[in-house]
Amino acid sequence: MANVTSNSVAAGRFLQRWMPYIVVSPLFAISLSIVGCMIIGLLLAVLLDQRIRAEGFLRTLYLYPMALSFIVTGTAWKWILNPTLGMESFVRGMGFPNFKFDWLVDPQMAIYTVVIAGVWQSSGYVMALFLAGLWSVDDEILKAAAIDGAGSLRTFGSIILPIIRLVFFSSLIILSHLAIKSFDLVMALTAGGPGYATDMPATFMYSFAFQRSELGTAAASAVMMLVTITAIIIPNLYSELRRGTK
Amino acid sequence: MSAPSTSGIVRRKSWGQSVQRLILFAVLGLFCLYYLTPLVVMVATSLKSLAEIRTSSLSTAGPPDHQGRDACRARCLSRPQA
Repeated sequence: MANVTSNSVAAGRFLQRWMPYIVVSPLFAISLSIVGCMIIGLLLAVLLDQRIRAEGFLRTLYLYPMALSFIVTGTAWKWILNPTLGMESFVRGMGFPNFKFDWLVDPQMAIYTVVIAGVWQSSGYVMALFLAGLWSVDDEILKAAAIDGAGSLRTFGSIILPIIRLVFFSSLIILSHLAIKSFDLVMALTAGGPGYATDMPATFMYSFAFQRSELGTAAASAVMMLVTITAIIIPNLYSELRRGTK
Repeated sequence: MSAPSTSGIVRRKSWGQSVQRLILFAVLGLFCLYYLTPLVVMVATSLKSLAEIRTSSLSTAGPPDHQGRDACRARCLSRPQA
């Protein structure tokens, strides 16, 4: 009994100590990057669907980050965001000596650099998914809506969005598992630093398993990653399946 | 004959439509910049010599004497022929 109590006290202390690093900050970064990818992807898909010129070229351009490895992305963004080498010194050299952009080394803002790089990498893929969804919308329905006098916003909100609902579902699943298990991007960009500011579940697991030799904690955090993905997928899957059988 | 039949279909673009189109392309262009920046940085860095990478900043314009390019050319030319 005493053993159980001391164990739970230890677990409580552990959680108290690590909660901001293993739960709050990664959860924030993961949700922010998923939402950012969704918004940018949908925006780009809608803009590309306006019968514009050079659509194929722009589509390829927005999609090419997905072809790169996360290590390459992380390294390139590390160069750009580095205050002494990258954008800050570049803009200062252009004649703005007070320009400051040191998010990469700022513990408060470093997590946003991971989000910027992650959104850069994955939003083009989401754009392609949404574009495919928009192309699959039947033209006849849109014409019928136009005859009924629906404006473009109303058509989008009441007709197109419900039709491409499944695209939201699939992109949410793809993005969430990409974001939750993101390891190489964080390792190349910040390596979890400064401090523990950009520690993600996967980097946390790696450092506990292979650097601190605390395999129990590492295994527990790996299970937590699995549980998080399951918690996202199961309710979505359930609601879709129920709607399908109705 | 053709003028009256198409007069109601082919309309001249209004001012508002042109502005809308302009905003559309401006937004797409901004996103192009966002997606192209890392590629430009990667290509620019790959053309620099190691010393240049260590000392110089991100800007694609190298030093005026094209040190890196000359070093690269010299290295390529001095490679023994197979």
